[in-house]
Amino acid sequence: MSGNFYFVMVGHHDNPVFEMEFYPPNKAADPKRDDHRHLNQFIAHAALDLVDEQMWSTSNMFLKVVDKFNEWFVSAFVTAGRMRFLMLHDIKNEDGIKNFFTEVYETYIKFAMNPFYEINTQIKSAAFEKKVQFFGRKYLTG
Amino acid sequence: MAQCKQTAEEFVQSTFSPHVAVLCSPDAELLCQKNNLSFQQLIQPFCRLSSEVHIRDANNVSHSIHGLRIKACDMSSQPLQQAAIRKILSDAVVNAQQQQQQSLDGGRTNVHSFGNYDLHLNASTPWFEAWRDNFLETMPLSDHEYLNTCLACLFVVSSGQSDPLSVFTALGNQQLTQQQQFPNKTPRWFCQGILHYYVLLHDVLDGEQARAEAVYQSMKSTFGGQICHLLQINSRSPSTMETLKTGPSPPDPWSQFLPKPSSDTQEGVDYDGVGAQDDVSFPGELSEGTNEVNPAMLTSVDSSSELFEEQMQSPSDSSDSGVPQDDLFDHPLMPSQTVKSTSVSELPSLDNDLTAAANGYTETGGQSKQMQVSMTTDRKTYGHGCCLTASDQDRLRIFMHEFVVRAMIPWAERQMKLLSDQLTSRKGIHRSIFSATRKWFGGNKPTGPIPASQNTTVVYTKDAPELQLRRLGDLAFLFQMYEFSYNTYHAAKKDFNNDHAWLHFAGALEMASIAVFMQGGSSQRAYPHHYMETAISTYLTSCRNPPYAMRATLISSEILKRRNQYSDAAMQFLKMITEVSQSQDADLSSALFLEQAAHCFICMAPPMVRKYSFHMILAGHRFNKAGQRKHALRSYSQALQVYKSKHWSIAEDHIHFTIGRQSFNLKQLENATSAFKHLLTGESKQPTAQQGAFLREYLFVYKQLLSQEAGESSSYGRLPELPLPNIKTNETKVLLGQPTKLPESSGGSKRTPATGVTLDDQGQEARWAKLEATAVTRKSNPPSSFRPTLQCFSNKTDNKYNPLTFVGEMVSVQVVLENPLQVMLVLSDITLLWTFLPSITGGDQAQLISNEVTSSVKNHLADEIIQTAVIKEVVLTGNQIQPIVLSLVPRQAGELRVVGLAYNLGTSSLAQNAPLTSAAVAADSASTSKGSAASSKPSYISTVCVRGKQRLEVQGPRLNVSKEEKTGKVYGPDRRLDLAVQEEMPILNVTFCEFPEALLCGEVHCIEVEFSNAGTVPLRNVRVAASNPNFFTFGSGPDAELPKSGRLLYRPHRDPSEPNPESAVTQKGDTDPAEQDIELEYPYTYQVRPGEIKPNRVECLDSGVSLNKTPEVTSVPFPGDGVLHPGQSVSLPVWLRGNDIGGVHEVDVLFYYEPVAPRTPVKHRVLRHRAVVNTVESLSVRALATRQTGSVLRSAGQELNTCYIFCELENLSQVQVQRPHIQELQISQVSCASDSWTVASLSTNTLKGIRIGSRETLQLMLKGTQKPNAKGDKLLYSEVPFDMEQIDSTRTPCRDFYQCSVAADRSRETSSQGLSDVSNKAEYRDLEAALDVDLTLIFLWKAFVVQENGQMKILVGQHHVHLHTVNTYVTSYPLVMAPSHHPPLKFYKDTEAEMDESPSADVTTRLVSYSYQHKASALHSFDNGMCVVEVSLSLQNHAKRPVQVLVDSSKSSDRLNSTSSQDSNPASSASTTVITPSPPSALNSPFPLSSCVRWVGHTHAKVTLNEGESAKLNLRAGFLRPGTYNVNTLAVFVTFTDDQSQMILQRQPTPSIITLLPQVS
Repeated sequence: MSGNFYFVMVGHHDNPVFEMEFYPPNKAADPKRDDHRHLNQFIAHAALDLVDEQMWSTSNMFLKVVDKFNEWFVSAFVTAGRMRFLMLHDIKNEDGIKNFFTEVYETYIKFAMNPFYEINTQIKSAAFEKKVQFFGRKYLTG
Repeated sequence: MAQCKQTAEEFVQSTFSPHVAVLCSPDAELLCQKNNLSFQQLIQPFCRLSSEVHIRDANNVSHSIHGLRIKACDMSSQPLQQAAIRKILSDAVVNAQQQQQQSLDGGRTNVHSFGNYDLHLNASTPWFEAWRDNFLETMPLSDHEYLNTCLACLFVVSSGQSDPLSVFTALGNQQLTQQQQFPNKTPRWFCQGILHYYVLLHDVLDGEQARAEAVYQSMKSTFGGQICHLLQINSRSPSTMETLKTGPSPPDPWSQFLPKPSSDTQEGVDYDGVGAQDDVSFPGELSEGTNEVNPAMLTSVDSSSELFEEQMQSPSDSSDSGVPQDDLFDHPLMPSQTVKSTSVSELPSLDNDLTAAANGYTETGGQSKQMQVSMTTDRKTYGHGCCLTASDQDRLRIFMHEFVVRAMIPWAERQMKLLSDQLTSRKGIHRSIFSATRKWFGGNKPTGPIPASQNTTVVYTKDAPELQLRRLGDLAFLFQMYEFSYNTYHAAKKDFNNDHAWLHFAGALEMASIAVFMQGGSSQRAYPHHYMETAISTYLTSCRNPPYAMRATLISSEILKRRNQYSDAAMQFLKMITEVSQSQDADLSSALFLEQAAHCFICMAPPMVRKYSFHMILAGHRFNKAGQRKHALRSYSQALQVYKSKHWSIAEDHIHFTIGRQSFNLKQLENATSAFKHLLTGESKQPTAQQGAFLREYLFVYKQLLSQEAGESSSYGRLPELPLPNIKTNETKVLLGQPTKLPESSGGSKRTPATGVTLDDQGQEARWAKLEATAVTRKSNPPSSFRPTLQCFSNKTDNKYNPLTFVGEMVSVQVVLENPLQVMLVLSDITLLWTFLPSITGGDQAQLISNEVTSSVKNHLADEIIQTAVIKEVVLTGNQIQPIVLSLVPRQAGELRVVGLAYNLGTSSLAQNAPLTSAAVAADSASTSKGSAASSKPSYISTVCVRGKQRLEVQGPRLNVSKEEKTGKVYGPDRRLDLAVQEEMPILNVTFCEFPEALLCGEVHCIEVEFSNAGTVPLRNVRVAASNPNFFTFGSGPDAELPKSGRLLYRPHRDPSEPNPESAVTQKGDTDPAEQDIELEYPYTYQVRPGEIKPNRVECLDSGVSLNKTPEVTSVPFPGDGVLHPGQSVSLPVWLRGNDIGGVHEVDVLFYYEPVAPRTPVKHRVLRHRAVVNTVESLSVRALATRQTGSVLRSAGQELNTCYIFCELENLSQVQVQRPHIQELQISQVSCASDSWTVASLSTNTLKGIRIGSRETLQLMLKGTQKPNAKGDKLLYSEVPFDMEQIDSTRTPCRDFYQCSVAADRSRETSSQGLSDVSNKAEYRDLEAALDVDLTLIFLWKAFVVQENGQMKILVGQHHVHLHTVNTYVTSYPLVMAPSHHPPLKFYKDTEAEMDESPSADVTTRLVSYSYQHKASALHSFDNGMCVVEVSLSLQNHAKRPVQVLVDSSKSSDRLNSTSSQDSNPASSASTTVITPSPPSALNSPFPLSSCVRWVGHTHAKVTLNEGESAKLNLRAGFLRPGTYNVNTLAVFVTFTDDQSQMILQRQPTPSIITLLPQVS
């Protein structure tokens, strides 16, 4: 499996809370990668409209592919607390993304229990980052 | 929420309106030109019929037509070339925005709220409408439809023509030839028999009315009355118009139909090629929306990734991007000129077989066109229709109405009837044949539209029935018979589909759906959206005809918007973008479509704000590529509203960057700068190189802006604010006074200046404040109102008051700079900005002075008032935090406020990658102050930089007192940057010479201290307060012998103990051989008594003088009047004594001084010094005083006033190899200072010194004697010398240190005793006197110290032991109390323990001492019975109060055992021995017989002893057997109150032994 993934958790004010990109190991050193990082953000941000629309139409947290822009698909996951997880991906990997979302959700819940973490603020935690990285390798690029 | 001006219906009607060609004779054209208009333009405002007209269809059913619009087109106009069309389109877009900006300031007036977003939106998008109108107008015509073909031709001839009728004929022929011979030339014609309409144009002023009438009559007869018209215009001359100009000019109905004069389009610079450079990585095409997955997408990842090619280029490129470098459009006027020239050259050759008249016309037409072009410049001065009066305009209106109602509609009716007749006649045959052949050959083809890629090969003849059908439909549509036209189209659609005539098919579909829509509510059918979809896709895929697809999209989206199907409309726009993106000029249309799609998104319910913003970004990107910079900027700015401060940092950066670039290209430097400013934040997630690029770009743009502004206004003075670096304003510190110089070593002697205050001193202000308070008030507990002098202000100090500084004294401000970026920042020429309000005594209004002005003259003046230091350069590497120190020297009194920091901000081209070590940076910052090393290292200043400032505003502490303050966030004032500059003050400088780093414990060292006045005002009253007053002394008392002022006190001196090292050898055996051959020197620290040595010398001295209330404060004894004049300096000796405890000690010393004649409210100043001394352990002394008791030798009176003192001296030092250490200690003298006691040696009386080697212990026994009459404030000094010379312990420094030590001892005592004890103590003070001895032993010693180089040095020192009570061990060093363990925390209140009113048992059991006097031994023959020995009991009252003593022999017990433990450990005697008379009998029943002493005689004796009184009782003891007995078995009870019941058993541990031997006889 190889594909590029961009994962973002979006807070209640449409603000990104946590971002991470996953690349297949062989493409990790792609110099062009930086060039369209903003495009990832644009696409993910624009997909929020569709997430907000579709989240009411299903009882599942995982919304599958909600939007698509050129070669990018946007899959979404809405937590019970209405945090929106978005994943940009250029290959189909529904199960992997679903598992990834579920695991990250679990981790996020634990993180949010921290009384010193204020909800909707940037997650700055090395441990959290490491975990997400691990899940990314496990389910997405691995 | 962009709304179009027209509704969808209006739009469709205006798009598809009947066309009429105009063919004008040259003279008629000339007549029109008087009004600055062509004939076509002249009639244009009147082409829309205001009234309702009626038309009958083929079935003779009447329909009403509302607002029919006729489109007139000039036959002479030429088709435009592709480039020209493109130019027109983009011009339209540009101009539309310009207009809007002029009128509505960008149209951003309305604010809409969408969920959490409040957005400014464009109310309308006129550029889109303008583009749409122009696009539809310039669309290429196609054969498959007849909507835009001309239904009629207007022939216009002037009445001035000699033979108008022939000209009419010629024109008619011209039209006919054109229609027949050049069918592909515009305009195209609806059918063969178009309507001809003849207009005779008559100039009212110039022409003859009668002749015109005549010609008109002949016209009517020739052509028919319905199709002729006499039009009278130009009822007034232009000159009369001039005269009428005074009034308000009538509305100009033509202006809205005419193209804007091209002189307005000065935005030609916009069309440079830079915009087209793909500098943003956006895909050129996009597809999105549905969940369906295109399989091609999945496989072709790499191909599509090419779309993301090339992005934000290096901003350095942008420097030259301001220059237009386009080769497509050189000049806005160019394309039209080229077109015209070609038309002129080509026309004659093309039209050479036209009739002469027509030929001539073409020529002149060309000329007139040229004339027209030349006249465009004059248009502004004229205006349009200046020769037309209101009645002329009415005539024009009537003319058009006549034309439509009387000619056009009847013609259309006829034509429709004709067409439908033709169709019905042919239909039957054709249909049957066709369907038969189809069935025959075609087999079972699906009837639906077949999406085939192959183009149709079907070519219809001009009059093919299918086309006739279409013609009929079009005609019906044009005249608003929508129901009928739908049916026709529907029928045609089937035919075309069957024939695979895809273009025709698509057209029919398109029109069918539009027809349904136009029927509105009256229609039974639902709007066939799929028709339109199919039409568009057919146009695109099968026909490859993007313009028609585009037109269909435009109409369809408008219809969908009308039907609130915004989502579908957006999809249609987006689909179109995807499809047309390959074509050449797709950028502009794509951008417009994207923008429309974005507007559709926001119109949806619920509004899709984020989709909107994303598509605005995409649109902006495409606008940029199309060279429409303003639109690009506008789009990005629109989108920014959504993204702003949502922390999509990279996206936001991209937007800001683009806005910055576009603004810069549009010369909006201010906007560009502020946009770039946003990029330079600490949160930036950009890579380092990108940050560096942003920074450079920002600096470049900002510099341009500044230079531009500087050019605009010469009075420009304020510096701009810079965003970088971050200043941690609240960490700003202000230091008053000179920063301390480094210790300088000049002339061999090390000079240490007083440390003063540095910026790093924090958290110890309380200590210094206490010291200062003590120094000022000379009281230990200063009043609470006292305000200490602060010299260093930070966020931790109380900054409620303005810092006070003085003229001529430096103020240092430390500013903490933080570089939030990862790139290096170079700051240069950093200065503080200030404002200054001089305090002027006169009545003049003081003027605020600032150094922020850039003009050199003013700056020079400012620098004279406040001397401002400049730091040349500071380099901040990525993410570095660095404090910098800037200084000011005020030269005038007033109010100085530090307002900010001015500097040049630059970056280095040396890139951040260059490994710049922190050391190098440190060197940079260090060299800034010197500026000498600057030449050797590379300087970064040369790179591009901008001068600007940042404000320094400090925030006070958060208040938290009242409720409002607790709930809100209220901050107190902070005035640390508002300095009050006052008149000059003296400045005291203190320098220590040869300040030792290390001392032995107790060592006394003499150094020289230099006081100098660096100010301009004399000072006096120098006082010193220290945290540890034992540390030093300036000497006191009448020390006339001591050389004091200004002289060094070192003097080579032969050690008096040294001449006899033999004794040391004999004592120790192995002396260091080095000791012999080195010449020893030691400081002449002590004063030696002259003359011979008296072993027990006693001197009486006044003590009250020196023991002042606050030992912490001492005055510095200046010679003379105690005033230090400016520039004067005084050297004084000072003696230091090492702390008693080994280790590193910090001693805070505060010098207090006053100006002689204070001119300011400040009455004193202080100077701080912190001395750090390491002390090494040397000697330790342990002493115990005991009363002599039980001695039979002494008389009773003597016993009261003597004591024995046991001293244990230990040398704590250790011999160390290769390191300085004490080899030996020599006790030179023991002195005693007391108000009543003197000492004498009991153990040894040698004068050769007592030496103690390392880790050796020496016991010394002294006897103390109390002089009973020596009381008051006299102090007795007794000296026991052990050395060759006797040191005068009553003089400096010996006595001073003694006094310090006493004071320290007292303060320790009072602090250790609780205050609660005091009242208790006072009552029993007289009782406690029983145990008091009050003396201090001073041990004076010499130490032989081996230095590192092996040399020997003699140091001297002294230790003090304070003896207060007997039987208590005291040490020379203060015992460090181990922290007593805290009682467990209790949550309930303890019942208050009853205060024990009685004095402690320690005291009460020792009030009376007693001793026995008896024979030591006796011989007795026990055969004769009991031996009776006379014992006399001496009782001595130690207390200062009369006591009653009860001696009870019967209750005696063997107390030897029970009290033996109490003797060694008095502390454990807490188990009280307060015994009431009754219980002992029970206790003492088992008598050991051996110790049995029987007292003979009376068993009780009661004596009353007064203060100091002694008594003797004669008793008799009886012994039954021989042996050794302890006589001390009596119980002695003492009462010190009247209450007889409370008898206290006295403690007398010393046994009194008697030996009884049996007499053998």
